[in-house]
Amino acid sequence: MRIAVPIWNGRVSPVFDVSTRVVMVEDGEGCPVRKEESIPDDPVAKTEKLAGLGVKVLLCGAVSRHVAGMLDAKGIRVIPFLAGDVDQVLDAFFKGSLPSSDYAMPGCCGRRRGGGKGCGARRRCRKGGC
Amino acid sequence: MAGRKKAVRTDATGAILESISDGVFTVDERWKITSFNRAAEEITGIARREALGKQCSDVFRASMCETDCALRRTMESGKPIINKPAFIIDSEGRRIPISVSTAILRDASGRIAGGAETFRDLSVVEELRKELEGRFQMGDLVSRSPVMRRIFDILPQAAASESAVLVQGETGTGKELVARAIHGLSPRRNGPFVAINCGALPEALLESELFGYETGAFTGADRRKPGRFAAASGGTILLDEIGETTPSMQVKLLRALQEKAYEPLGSNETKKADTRIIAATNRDLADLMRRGTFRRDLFYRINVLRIELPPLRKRREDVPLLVEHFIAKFNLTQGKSINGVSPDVTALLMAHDYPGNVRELENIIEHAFVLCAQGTIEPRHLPESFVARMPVERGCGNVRTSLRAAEAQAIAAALERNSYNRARTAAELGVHKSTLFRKVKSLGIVLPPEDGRYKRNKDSA
Repeated sequence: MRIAVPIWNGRVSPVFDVSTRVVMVEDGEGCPVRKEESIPDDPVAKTEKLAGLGVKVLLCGAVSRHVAGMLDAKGIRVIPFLAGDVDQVLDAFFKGSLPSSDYAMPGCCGRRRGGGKGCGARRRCRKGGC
Repeated sequence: MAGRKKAVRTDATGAILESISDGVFTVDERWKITSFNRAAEEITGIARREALGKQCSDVFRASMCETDCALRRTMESGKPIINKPAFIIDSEGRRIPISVSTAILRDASGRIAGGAETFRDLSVVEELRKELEGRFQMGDLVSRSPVMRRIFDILPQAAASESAVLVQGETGTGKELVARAIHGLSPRRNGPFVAINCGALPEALLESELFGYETGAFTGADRRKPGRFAAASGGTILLDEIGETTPSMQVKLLRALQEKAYEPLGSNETKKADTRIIAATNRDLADLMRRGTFRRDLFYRINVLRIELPPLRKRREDVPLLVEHFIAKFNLTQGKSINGVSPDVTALLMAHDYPGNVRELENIIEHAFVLCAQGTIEPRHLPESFVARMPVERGCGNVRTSLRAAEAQAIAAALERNSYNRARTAAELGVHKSTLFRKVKSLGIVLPPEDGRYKRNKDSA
């Protein structure tokens, strides 16, 4: 399975819609293979490129519904609104601990897309999930 | 004393920051959030306690963070930035348009202690701008109708998926334009877009056109010819008027859709069809399926995502917008500078029912372009057949023209609703039968030879 994480300064890129580089990791037998790829700015081309690269899971920061819908249509599972160091986020994913409040963007509580409502200023949440 | 003054000033600043409707946050030199006002909480949907101490890009999530951070530029140049446009993404995945202004924060000794960013939610302004402009455009489709807006909203997702799309709508509503818009937004947009009218060709010819043929497949096939499916490889094929295909052709189309495979005429070799299929029809396919003339399995295969285009008479608000669009288009293609249509023409165009939909309106404007050398399109430039159907006194002032057109439209609609039964129509409109007759005659409304009464008598006979 191929996993991609948009990267910026070693951290998960804050806004996937405008990010231009991804780290790709192949989760198979043996040691995971890690490499970086540039991705286009345009959301349609970006989605197409990731699908073309065989990406099955995208671990990303903020993503707009419009772009998330396109990724979904391409069969790419999205775990959005993640923040933190890319390697630590990937590590958490491989340990099966994502989504998690430890790597959630502020106001996002570490949830899956469509798995619940946001809990920002109007919907408070406790550490550890909503 | 000085300390108390400073504390008062800090309290006052805090109160002001809390009361304003612009979001304000400050960062230290490590880009960690050090303050976050009430409006910032409201706009981003993030509680202050969650934001404080966090990396500003993870909290703010603006389109500019990664590529062109306004605050970073201010910190580097020392110059403030005012009202830079961007968008942020809230935790619900909504894009919120904002404008950003920045400033440097200095401590008492004048040393840079961080930066301050002010941002304004432009969602309302943006909505108002759209409302004022009242115009939505996607590809060559223009509309201000809410029904069409909903269609525009689903097009990007329809484009991103590989699923079959069925576009239904009366002739001339723009089914091909929708198919082109989907192709243009899809990952296949650099591939070819091929449209074929399935209703225009007999079955044998349609099969050879779609799937191609090998040399010697039939008399006269002296060389191999690839079909439209091959021509659309890597792109999109539009099967227009799919409701007109024969049952045996439907079986072949089903195979191409289901197995993405087909055989050219006279060939045993199976070809792969790497083509996105969009089907279009002006018929009610569900009804054809119930009557047994359209295959159930093909119907369900192409009916994955259905887009129903409303006829122009159900979105009359689009007529002036489309007129403007076609004038701009013909000005460009014909090198003219027509500046618009006269109010009389607008009234005539608004009152028409457009059985030929947008294509009919385009033809009317194209006809007017031939006759109108410059300036404004007047009723005399419109096709005679069109004006004859809508006899409106000319030169009587705009209000009167519009009133007569509206009156004619209301009477025609009432007649249609009442199956042309004059007595029932007059009762619905609250006028005497003779008044209705007089109005019908003076407005030049054409009535069918038989009326509702005649039909009822015939039915009961």
